[in-house]
Amino acid sequence: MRIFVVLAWLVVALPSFASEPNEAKQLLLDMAETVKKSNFTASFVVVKGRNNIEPYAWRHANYNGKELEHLSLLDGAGVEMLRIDNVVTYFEPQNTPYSLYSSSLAGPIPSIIFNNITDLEPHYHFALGGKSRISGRVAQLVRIESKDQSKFNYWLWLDGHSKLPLKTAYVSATGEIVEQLQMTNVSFSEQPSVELIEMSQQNLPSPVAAASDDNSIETWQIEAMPAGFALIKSERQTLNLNGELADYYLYSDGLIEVSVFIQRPLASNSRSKALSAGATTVFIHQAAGYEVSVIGQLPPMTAKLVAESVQRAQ
Amino acid sequence: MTNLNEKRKEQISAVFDDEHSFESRHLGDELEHAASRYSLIGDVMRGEGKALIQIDIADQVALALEQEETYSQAPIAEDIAAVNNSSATVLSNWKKPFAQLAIAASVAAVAVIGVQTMPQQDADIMNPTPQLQNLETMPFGGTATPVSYSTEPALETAQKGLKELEEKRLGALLMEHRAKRAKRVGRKALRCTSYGASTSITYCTS
Repeated sequence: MRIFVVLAWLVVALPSFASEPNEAKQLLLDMAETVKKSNFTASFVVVKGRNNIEPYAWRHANYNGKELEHLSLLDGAGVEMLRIDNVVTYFEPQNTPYSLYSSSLAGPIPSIIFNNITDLEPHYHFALGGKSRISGRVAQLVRIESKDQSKFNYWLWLDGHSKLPLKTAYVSATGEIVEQLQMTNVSFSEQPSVELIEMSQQNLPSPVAAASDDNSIETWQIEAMPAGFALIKSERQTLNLNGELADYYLYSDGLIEVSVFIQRPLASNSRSKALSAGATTVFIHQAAGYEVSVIGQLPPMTAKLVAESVQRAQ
Repeated sequence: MTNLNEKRKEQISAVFDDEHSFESRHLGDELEHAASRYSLIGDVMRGEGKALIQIDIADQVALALEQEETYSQAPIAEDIAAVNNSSATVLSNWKKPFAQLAIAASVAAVAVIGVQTMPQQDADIMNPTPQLQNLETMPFGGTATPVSYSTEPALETAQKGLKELEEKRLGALLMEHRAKRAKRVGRKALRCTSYGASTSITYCTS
């Protein structure tokens, strides 16, 4: 009898367990669809740590069959990104403007969220959270949870009506929010924004194709990169700002990117240190005769393990 | 007492709003101070405060630059030509002066987390999986001074130079990471066509 009850419970309960991740994933897909199809003007702030706030303006429109998107960092020297369908132009204070082929902006929301979230499934799972009130609206929490504890989880609160993200956050394995983004204003419109159309009609630099990877290097071994990260690029390069030489490795697990730099040490007696800005950790490890810097949206302890695992290739 | 002060302040405010004349010697020190503040507020609201608060220093800088001796004319002419030729570069040119500032800000934006390396090694022996509690946040340039830090002037200068180099390296690395991220996002789009996975992104062939 007891076995029967357990079996009956399983029959009733299992489908609901199984359907929940699909519902969470479906919400994310709906959100991406909404963003692609709507004309809207929004502003949001990214809160990193205790006292660093970055305000952004975000516009999106469909005009003459093309997707237009503009993201602007409003504080300091600022960064401007303008996307016309598959070409993104970056205006950065340190560089001359340049364009790249890309279907999304490199903004504070990981671009995969708006594209192919199925790619995340091997190393993250999608789960539904509770409903809460965000920016004056009812929002549904969708959690993108890392399958191991070496990475942050990414949570999104989606507007119950429009499915637009009202708030997103990087959450540590212990449930602490380390960096969050909150919409302060969103307005949808029938017509595409005039400013956005005017912007897209400016004389913009023509896009450059991403360079091929024929100059990859195999000088170093990085053992402790968490599961799911794949090597995207490796090269020996000269840093733009100070002209220093660095061996560079770029890893990604789809959601986040991690850079590893190996350079000569600045001084013989430097000490290893960790720095953080919201979810981004910089870990500088002093090894014997070289300095390893790991930069990415990783918990400090993971960045430390990665940095300390770098060795000369045999 | 406070109520009395509030009342008198209100009276002063009323005097200013109604543009009545009054004699300031009837007022106490504190209230005279309040009076001058209200007067300033009034001036600013009526647009008469421009002479008091000069925010736009562009004219003054331009004037100073005019008086500056010209060392070479040619590069300036080239600059102007370049600006006229490309509308895209205009955006970057006005931002150039902020570039250093931006780097400084990007460095200042990261907070030092002191990692207690020595005690942690002890902890490692007892506990093979080190906990995050071993990390603690500290204000930037806080107590994490190197062991060799000295009050000797020559050494101090060297330390200062090293710190600058470290900050510059950090700024360069952060900038590079950001740029590589942007390119990586671009690469994702390029990759998607080679797989033919997404039908909505059919244009990323380059």
